[in-house]
Amino acid sequence: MATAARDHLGACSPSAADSRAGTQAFAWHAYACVLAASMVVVGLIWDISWHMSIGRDTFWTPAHLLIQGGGLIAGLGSGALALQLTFRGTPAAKASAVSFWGFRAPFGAWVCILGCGAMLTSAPFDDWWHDAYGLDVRIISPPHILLGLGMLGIVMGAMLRTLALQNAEHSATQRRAAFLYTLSTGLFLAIVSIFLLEWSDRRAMHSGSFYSALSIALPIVLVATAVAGRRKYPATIAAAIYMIVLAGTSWVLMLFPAEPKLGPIYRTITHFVPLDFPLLLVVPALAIDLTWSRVREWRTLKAAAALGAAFLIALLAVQWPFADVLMTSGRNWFFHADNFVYWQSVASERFAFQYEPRSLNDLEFAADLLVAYGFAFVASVVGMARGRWMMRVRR
Amino acid sequence: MRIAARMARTTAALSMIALLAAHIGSPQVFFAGSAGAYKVDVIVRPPQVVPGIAEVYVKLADTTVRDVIVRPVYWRAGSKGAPRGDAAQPVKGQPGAFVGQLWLMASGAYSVHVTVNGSAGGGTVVVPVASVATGQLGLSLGLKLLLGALGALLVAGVLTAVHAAVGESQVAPGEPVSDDVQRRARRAVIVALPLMLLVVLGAARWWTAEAAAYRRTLYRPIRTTTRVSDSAGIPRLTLTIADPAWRRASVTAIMPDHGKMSHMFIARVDSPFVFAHLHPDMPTSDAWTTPLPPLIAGRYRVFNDIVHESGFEQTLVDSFTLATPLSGLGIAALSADEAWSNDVRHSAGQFLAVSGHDGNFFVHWAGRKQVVANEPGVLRFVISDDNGKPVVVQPYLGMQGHAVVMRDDGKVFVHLHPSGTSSMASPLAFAMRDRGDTTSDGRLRLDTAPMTGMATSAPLHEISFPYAFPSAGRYRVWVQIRSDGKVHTSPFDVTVLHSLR
Repeated sequence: MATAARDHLGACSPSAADSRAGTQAFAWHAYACVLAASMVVVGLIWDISWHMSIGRDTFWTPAHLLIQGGGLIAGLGSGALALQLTFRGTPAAKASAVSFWGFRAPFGAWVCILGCGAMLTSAPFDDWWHDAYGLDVRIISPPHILLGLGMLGIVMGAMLRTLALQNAEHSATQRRAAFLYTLSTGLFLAIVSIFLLEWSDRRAMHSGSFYSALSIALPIVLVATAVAGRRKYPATIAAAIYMIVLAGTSWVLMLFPAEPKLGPIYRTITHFVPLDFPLLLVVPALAIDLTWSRVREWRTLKAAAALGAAFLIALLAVQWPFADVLMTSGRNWFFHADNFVYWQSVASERFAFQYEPRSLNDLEFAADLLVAYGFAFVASVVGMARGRWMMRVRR
Repeated sequence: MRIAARMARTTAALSMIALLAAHIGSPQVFFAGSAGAYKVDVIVRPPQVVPGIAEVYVKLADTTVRDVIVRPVYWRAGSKGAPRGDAAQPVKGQPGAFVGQLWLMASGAYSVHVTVNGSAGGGTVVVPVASVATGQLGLSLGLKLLLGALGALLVAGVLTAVHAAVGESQVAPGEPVSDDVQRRARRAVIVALPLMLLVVLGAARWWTAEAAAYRRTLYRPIRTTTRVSDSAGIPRLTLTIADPAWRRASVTAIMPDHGKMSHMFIARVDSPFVFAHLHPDMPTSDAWTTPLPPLIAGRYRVFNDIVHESGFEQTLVDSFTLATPLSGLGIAALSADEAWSNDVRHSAGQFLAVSGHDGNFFVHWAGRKQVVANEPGVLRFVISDDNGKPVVVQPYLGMQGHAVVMRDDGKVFVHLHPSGTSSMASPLAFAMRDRGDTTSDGRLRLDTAPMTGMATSAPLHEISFPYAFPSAGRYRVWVQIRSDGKVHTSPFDVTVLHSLR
């Protein structure tokens, strides 16, 4: 596969400059990074589902192996590339890389190595943490955050690696690289949405906190994708990939038997419990893509005001009624709103289908939305800056 | 035993900031009994943290058995809410010995079900285990250096990545990196450096806060007050909970053990053989009161063993001082189940191989002369009359005998039965709750509960208590056996040496 990938991505015309050929060299690495990012994201979803269904885990669970495998593919692949480029690379290939402590490799490779390093560092740290403070007492703990940052690094590395290829001035590469970039952005969106799970609960979808939390983070990713993507509707496609990855992994997991291996068990579990159905991000992402196509020439603040408004209005328009669908008709395999964990008592089930006490007519909610818009505006400014920087990533 | 040595090593590796559980300073659980047709000994070493993994060691007299299943059951969820058991693994070189792991995910009372299947059929024993966080692991120097080095590498790596992100990565392949780009990259690093420092400091602060939050969950002794008063001439001790945490915590009610609301042990600090085993009443839900025997003046330690309706066993600890000896008026108010000794003939440090109370009743220390920490099977005693023949013993509080172990600094205390470290009430609570023998508000229907496993009168030559001293030091052991209608308290002074392994 690596050879084929290099042949395809590295197919330079005879007239291509050496530097361009250098950019395409070792393009197998871009595929490896995207594969690694996919493994990390799917592994993470599987691991969360494992904890919701089986509970007991070791270093060697399949989900952990998938995550670690992804980390190692990205880290070792990038390390091998750095060694090869530094010691055996052609001048053109070296000139398409960046210097890092005397070694040379594409920028995305270094981010992958850092991500892998963070993941490796988190392993002994997390092991000690379990012995010192208990087995996964809290999901949000320093070693888990370090692991999460490592995984984020792998996915970002894949994005940057494919971005450099997309931004290279060579049309034969750009199309495929742009797709890989959009794919890795979808994975990035998936991992960001998983980090936001605590604030994106179905019960909060009619409350201001939900819209504020999503407005802080998601426009940064979606606007940057819209700005830097070379395909049509890049943010929309990335959001669709996020939804497919999240929902698809859940649908597959639900087919496999699982039973709790930890107690206390307060309900019967026979198959893997999936994560919540994904947010309908394709709609706000489409709003951002369409808005960006009209405001790309505007001044930054004015454009950000439009992008932030587009995001929030679209999110509210789609997620508010969709929450009602989940609440009333979500107990089926497709929406799997009845994804109760083994330690959740049957008596508490009814709370899972009750909103927090908010309503659209509530003045407080309107004020919350205003705050959310403020977040969306700032996030759009950051997203535009990030997107413009990403457009310039060349190595 | 290899398992005992391993447990000792693991314990030594922990930097304990508290060692207080259901029994004081003696967290290991010992059990001896019968699972169907199989005689079985069980040792459980609970984890120092919760959730954590307990180690369980099972020793069977029948060495042909190949199938031993261990299963932790949380009191609130019962066996319906427990995962399937796990097969314990045979210990190499030790026929009939098995080891397993128990994942204890919640704080509170657990019952460990040990099921044995063999040619003589199957059988299960239930071993109560208190799951509480008792210690915190320190960061070893090696791990500290490793994490520090990896952390420094990551921080340096991120700063280098920032330099590359703003600098060289933005330059088209083959083009030289201009001075402007270099300057811009350096400026970015200068901005990123304090931000990184803030992140590192923030993370350190978060870690400190997490550690502090964890320490707040550690099991700690309930604060109590003890008062000795004179009630119509009868000296009376009242122990009261003075800890607001007792009311704040959702503790279940106290249940009787051997028909007693608590077992209170009183030991004089300086003369080890002045000792009393009393059974206070509970006038309120947070106070225990009892008449006192004629104790001599001195400073005393009080250990009050209670059992909650969850099956959780707890020891309340306090001390008091008597400026003058107590009158003997309390004797008439004490029951035949209450026993005390005012023997001051021996001072601390004397080892008694034999103790006689009636002239024709002897308890001989039959364990090893050289006692080593973490070595099970040392508390064995031979009972005889003055002709060396077995004596008929009557059940004392449902058991053939009781033993109390206390280190001379009071930091270790445990009340033992021939069946081990557990009370009789705790397994009863688990069984009742499991079969739904509870009221609508979750209380046990104790008025209908039969007491099972009671001993009967029989000639007895030897009695043993499954236990291993948890640490080196000077210990006092009191053995209590009823014969001829009288409770005999035989004290021993034991020096326990460090484990050599």
